[in-house]
Amino acid sequence: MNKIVKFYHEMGSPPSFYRITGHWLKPLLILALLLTVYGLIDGLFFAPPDYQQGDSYRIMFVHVPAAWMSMFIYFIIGVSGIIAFVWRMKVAEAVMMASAPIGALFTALTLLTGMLWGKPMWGTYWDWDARMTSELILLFLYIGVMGIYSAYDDDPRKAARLAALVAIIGLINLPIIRYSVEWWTSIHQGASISIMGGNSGIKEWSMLRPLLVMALATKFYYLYSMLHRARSYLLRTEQNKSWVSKQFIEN
Amino acid sequence: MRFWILLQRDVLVAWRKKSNIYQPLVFQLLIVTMFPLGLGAGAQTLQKIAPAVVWILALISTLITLENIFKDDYEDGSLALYTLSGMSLPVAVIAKAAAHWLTTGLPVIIFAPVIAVLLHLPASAYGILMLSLLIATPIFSLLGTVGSALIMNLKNGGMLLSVLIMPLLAPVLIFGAGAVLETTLGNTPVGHITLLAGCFVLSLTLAPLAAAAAIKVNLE
Amino acid sequence: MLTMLDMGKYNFFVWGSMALFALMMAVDLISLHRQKKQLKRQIKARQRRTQS
Repeated sequence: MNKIVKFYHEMGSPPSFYRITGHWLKPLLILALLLTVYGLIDGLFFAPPDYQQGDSYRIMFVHVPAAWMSMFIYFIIGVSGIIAFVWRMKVAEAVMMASAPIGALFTALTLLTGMLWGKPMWGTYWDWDARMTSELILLFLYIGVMGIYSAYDDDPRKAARLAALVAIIGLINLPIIRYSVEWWTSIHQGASISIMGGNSGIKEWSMLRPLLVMALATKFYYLYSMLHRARSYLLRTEQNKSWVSKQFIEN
Repeated sequence: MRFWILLQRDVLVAWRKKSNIYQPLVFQLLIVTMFPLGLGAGAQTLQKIAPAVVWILALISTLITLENIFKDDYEDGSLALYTLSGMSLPVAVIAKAAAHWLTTGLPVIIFAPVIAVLLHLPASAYGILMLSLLIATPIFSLLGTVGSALIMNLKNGGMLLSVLIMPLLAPVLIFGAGAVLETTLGNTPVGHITLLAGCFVLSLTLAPLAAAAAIKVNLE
Repeated sequence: MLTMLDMGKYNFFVWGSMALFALMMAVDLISLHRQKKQLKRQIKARQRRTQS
């Protein structure tokens, strides 16, 4: 128990966070790459074609993990936003701002691969269905968090606090958007064909396995990318502290 | 007591600068002229898009006035004075939002039937149009204070303001424009209006807190 | 092997998605390292200035 408490406190201080996570980067990247390669080969070649969607369902192996990550990362941003706003923890600020670019990237990826999947399945690249619409609004939320930060970039602490506030507002707003959009589409179009239609039919382990592997791979990649950016963030915002200059004397 | 003084002062300031009040209306009129020019003047086509256009115009014309809710008060230091005077900041925010609503939301509501006539909105939908705008324009002002407080000391915050506020307003637009649309289609708008009222209550309770927090950070 | 690569009429969509995925991850990786490099150079330059 003591060890966990000690670890928790260490992760809260920028110098030890920087030191500890430095050891994690390489293993995380290697794990992410290996899992991606394995998952994609498994998904593209060894998983059987879907009885309804044929080979096109294989887009799922990048689309669904990306969609999961886009929501998961926003959740992380919201939670670290709360921590950053209430307790003013620098590491939480770093985690929040480091998560935003990769989260936005996954959201964009979800939208683009969703479009590529929509064309053969629905016959159109874009359909204003509930999932796609709320994913698009999620992208705006990411842009908002990053936008407010970069607007105040001459004062990083203030920028981070305002960005945290935006992130928290977004976190509260997200379920409202989600349900209003779902309600909106259910009234106007009737339930549209769900893009996950093939997913609910997945009971075969050989189809599920690549999906889970890819979900793990994207999680590891997120951790790598986020920690990398968080470390740079801390270096940048703590430039005047002695621990930063020590880092460079040693090297 | 202070609430009323602040409200009165803000309305008076806005009233002296008349352009604040008629500019959004002129803007609405300009944009609404473009729709028939672009779409063709067929009453059928216009009727179909009328609920959405009236609603989106009301939304955008309030959006363009949001940027300055706190700007002047921030620049001349009176915002810092409110906090020093011991006035509860969320209450001050509500006063600001109320003043903004009286000077932009209310004119927009009064002007909405004119826009609706130009777009051939079916007669049955006017009541619901007014009702939905009556509930929704205070929401615009309340949520607007949040966005405005976040960008109040930026020079060109307008674009950022719309990015920040669009996700907040999306549900309001869905319920509000939806209510009018359902009425034109002959359905009952009760569900939409109820949810819109829910949005109002939610933004009345949460938006002042969020805006006050943003002001505090900006004044630090 | 080549027949396994062929997704029939879905070639463009499936491989397009995979290419997008690879592209996005590559963009992230590259921007990440470029940022870090630039930052390090900046901090070192600062240090030299303050030391001399």
